[in-house]
Amino acid sequence: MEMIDGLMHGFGVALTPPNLLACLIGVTLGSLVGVLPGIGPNAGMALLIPLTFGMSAEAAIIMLAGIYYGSMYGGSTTAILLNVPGEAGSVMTAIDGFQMAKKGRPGPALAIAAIGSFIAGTFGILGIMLVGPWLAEFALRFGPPEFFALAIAGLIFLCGLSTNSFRIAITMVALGLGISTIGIDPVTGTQRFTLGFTHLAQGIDLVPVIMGLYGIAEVLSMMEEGIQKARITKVRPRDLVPSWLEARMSALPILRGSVIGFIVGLIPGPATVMSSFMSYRVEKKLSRTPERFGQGAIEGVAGPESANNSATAGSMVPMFSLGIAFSPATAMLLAALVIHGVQPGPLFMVSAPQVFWGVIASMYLGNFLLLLLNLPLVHIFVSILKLPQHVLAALVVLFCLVGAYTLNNSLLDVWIMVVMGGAGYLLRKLHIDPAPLVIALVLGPIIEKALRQSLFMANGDWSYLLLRPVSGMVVLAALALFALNLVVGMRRRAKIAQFIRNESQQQPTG
Amino acid sequence: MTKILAAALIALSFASPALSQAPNGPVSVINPFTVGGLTDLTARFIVEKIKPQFPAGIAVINRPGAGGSIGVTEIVQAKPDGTVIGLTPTASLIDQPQMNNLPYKTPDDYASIINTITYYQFLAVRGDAPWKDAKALLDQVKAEPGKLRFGSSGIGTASHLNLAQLTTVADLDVVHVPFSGWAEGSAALLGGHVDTLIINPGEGRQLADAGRIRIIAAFQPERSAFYPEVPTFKELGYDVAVSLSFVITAPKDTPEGTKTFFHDAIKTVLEDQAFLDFVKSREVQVNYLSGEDAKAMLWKEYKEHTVLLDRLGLSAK
Repeated sequence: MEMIDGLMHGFGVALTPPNLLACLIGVTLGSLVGVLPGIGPNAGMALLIPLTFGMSAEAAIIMLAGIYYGSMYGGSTTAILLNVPGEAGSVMTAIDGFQMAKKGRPGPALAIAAIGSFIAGTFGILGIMLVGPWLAEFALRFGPPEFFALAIAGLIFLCGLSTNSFRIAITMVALGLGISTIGIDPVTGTQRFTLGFTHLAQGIDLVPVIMGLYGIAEVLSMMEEGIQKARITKVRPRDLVPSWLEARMSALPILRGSVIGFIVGLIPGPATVMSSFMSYRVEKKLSRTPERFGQGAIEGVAGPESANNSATAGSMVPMFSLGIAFSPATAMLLAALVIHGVQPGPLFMVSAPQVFWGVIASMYLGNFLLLLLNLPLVHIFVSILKLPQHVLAALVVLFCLVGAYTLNNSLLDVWIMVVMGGAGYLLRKLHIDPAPLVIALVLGPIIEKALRQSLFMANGDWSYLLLRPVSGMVVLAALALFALNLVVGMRRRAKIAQFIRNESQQQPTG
Repeated sequence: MTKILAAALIALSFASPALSQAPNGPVSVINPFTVGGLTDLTARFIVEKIKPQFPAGIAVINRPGAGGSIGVTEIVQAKPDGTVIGLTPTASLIDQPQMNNLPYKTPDDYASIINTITYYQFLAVRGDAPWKDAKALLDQVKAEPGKLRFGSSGIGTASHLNLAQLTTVADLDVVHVPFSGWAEGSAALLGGHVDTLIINPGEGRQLADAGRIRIIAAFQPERSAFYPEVPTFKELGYDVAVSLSFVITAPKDTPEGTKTFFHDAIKTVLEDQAFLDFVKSREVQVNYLSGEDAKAMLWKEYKEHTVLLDRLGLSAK
């Protein structure tokens, strides 16, 4: 009852004209920074933070939160239409979303992404309200050894989503882990593998790598295929709406994605990226027709797009209930609250109910506004595909360049993106999936830091990792999974070899 | 006395000449850390306030990475015409160049314009910890050497230096667990993965009010106005207090007039009520130091930290 009273009170706060306007501005800007490749929610929020100094605490955080979850709606647009992820959380959406667009179904992909985001966003807010404080407490039991175990398990689990052979996948993982060590040693703070270039000490950021491997590489392939006038010339109105079958196939992935995203959001690390990878992998694993993935499976859009949205809600849980922000985006929300004299934490709901419930209610409204904003826009976005490809390609490159620069205001990031673009193109030619590299780049720093912190805690005793119940179990499960992958891979190879032998015996000339 | 002061002031006002001169062109204020942190908010607050005095434009640019040394390098190597300055924490100015080989080495390699805020750190334990005060905790450490875990926000950070100084002065044997920042560390403290954590002011306010953590001692020369009931380590007999300051820094050869212009503009912000409210909300304090004084402060800290970093084996070869 108390909760319903609180929520009603919250809607009272969120529906006042200034707060409603703040919400609308927030989600609109969020959609925009999400659509533009490279310019993500962090940059958008940083630009607006000085404006919030003069606002009320509620309006400030309502607007900033709107940018954060709003960007997850926008990110799918360029991923689906152009195969260029609008922000890092939409890498997985590009795989099947773009294939759907190629097959003349960009509208349904965009619509499902928006609807999935809406459902997951709403689910996430419910999560914050109902189980947030409890989950935040539970997550505290996870220390460095558990994070290490989880990250290792995640690495092994996620690498199964690549289409590569086992050997190539391992090589890509090794490359990614190697790249992730460039820069500053996360524990001792000293520079390593910088070859004496001070600027390399900032490390290799995930976003320029993704923009290069996916965005620039896509443009290069486009150039090679030759300039076509336009990918789609005519979009019929009924092609914009998902079919009944598509909607039904998306329902469960959206629900699963919502749960996965919320849980991954609670854990330190780039939650929106991790959760979408996780969801994609789960959907592929559960699917009765996994071979459709990569060829335009709607589940591959519905799951990850839902996951990255509820991950934003999940990552707000430790911020609201403990005052702990694991990512720059939530750190900014925290900062906006503190500047206005509101301290999130265990007493947040009691000490500043109008802010807490106001923000929660505004998020319901914001998600609804985003749905209203995004569904009609599907039509306009799809018409982007009517642009001649050379114009489109040039625009994509332009946005990627600007986006890579604005990330850290660094030219190095631009160069990394260009180099990764070349690398991504080569990998395509060799039919190698770059996903394991990206996953290793995300998880590498977490694995390293957690491992070294664990060893600090245990004075260098490795058995500590296995003797703690949770971490020990996860490590063992991960190793079992690894062995299983190995065996299954070998079996499959043997089968293929057998098949080839049989074929060649039947057709000796083959 | 007042006469002498007045005379000195008049002399000063002549000495710091009227050739205070705004820089030509838009100004970048480099913040060597990511968006959303205390440095970022301070920089953005100051820039928002002094904006009217820079008609050509002034904006905060985040250049994060490498413990702030990337941003400082950018400032040091910029053209010394006043179009690039930065808001730089002491650690990035004096500790980083001693731990890594960087294009700047000492406080002589950059110009200090003005110091803005200064703060000190605290030692916190869990709310349900058996130690009622710092003395009980230190007694336990002495009774069971090498057992209790002390969390810091990373090797070579102020919190590590504070811890290293404390363990030396008090002759303690503890397990040091470095985290990267408050979020990671506080989660580990609350979850019982470490026994204590060195925290920045402001960060622990709500957890302390809720009884989830207890702040038991301050690494500060005198008691903090925000936690008057918390004793300092100095009172407990251990003189340990590593300060953290945000200094406005410019390239070495920036013209005097330009430096004066920045100094005067920013000094008015430090006296602005809205800014005072902002620093109060973060539980830090305005600590005005002129460029000269800021440089002297940096040199003093630099030399003290040289000894510490050497002892910890962190100095660059």
